[in-house]
Amino acid sequence: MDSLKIYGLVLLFAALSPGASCQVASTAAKQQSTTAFPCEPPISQADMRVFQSAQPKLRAHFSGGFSDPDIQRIECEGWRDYKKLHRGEQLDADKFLKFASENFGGLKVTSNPDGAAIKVDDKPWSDATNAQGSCKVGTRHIRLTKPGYQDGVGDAIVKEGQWTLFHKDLKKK
Amino acid sequence: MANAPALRKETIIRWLLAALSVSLAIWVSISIFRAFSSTSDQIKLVNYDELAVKALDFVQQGAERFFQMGVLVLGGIWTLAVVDKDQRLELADIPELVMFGIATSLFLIELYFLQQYGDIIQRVVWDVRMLPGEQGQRLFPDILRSPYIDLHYGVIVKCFYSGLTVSGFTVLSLCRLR
Repeated sequence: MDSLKIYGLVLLFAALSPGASCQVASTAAKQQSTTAFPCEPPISQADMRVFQSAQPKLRAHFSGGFSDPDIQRIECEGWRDYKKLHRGEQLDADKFLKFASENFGGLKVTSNPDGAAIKVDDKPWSDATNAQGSCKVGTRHIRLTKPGYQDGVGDAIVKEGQWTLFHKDLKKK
Repeated sequence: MANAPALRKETIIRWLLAALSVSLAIWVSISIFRAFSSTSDQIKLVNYDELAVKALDFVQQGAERFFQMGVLVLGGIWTLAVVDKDQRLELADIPELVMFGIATSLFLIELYFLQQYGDIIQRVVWDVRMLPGEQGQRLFPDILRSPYIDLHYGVIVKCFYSGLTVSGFTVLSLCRLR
């Protein structure tokens, strides 16, 4: 019974300790605000370093068709959501990058004629065209296949919180 | 050769259990890898209504139960194999060490995927709020029939039950066969 109590105490300590250390970090962060940050509200120097170290990779990731305002919106909204979800934790550039590129957008895949099997990044969707669903943001490679028709292939840029339409007219073989 | 000591029946069973645990761990690893390399990140959408939200609550309660049970069994096996003075593992107990390591790893993987599962649901619910339907209606992620969500749930279930089985083997071996 005593060992169970010790185990419980260890778990309790492990659960409480990250929150305690981050409270100190957030207090320090409030004291140092900066104006170089492109989004509102301004952030601390410490957070700015995390943001800046993730920014080049983030820009490279979204460079395939996203306009500059789109990328800035992803950066700002991604940062805001990331901070909201990781409140009280040590902020990390790699985690932010992963977070920002794993948000979800909408993808509508249609074809003429319909009923073509869909593969997104070489992985099959469970529905045939015309279908819609949510998937991770970024440039997605889509292949439509239907017996008797040539494959329809192309890229779609899925944006966070927006519908992206991918349509192909399939040609007979 | 004739003087070689005969292996005790218990020793053979201990090694058999360890081999079974290793096989189970290999099967779980391969099936997880295959599932991830063949499943798209598709999340289906349904019209927003009370039942869709209710389904989300049920799913979250299910995940919570897996978390609690996982922590409980992991705590139990650590208490027995590390803390308990009578049953604790020795360096010479190789089959039990293997089983203990596999059980711990399976539960840690389960806990990691539980966190991923929660993150994905949280994020998709948040992002889908901005996607209007054909008639401008609100949409909601289909928690029960989306391949990407099912993929993570499948990993959690697989790791939990495999971890439970290997924990059972470990306890049996530690307390009865050693």
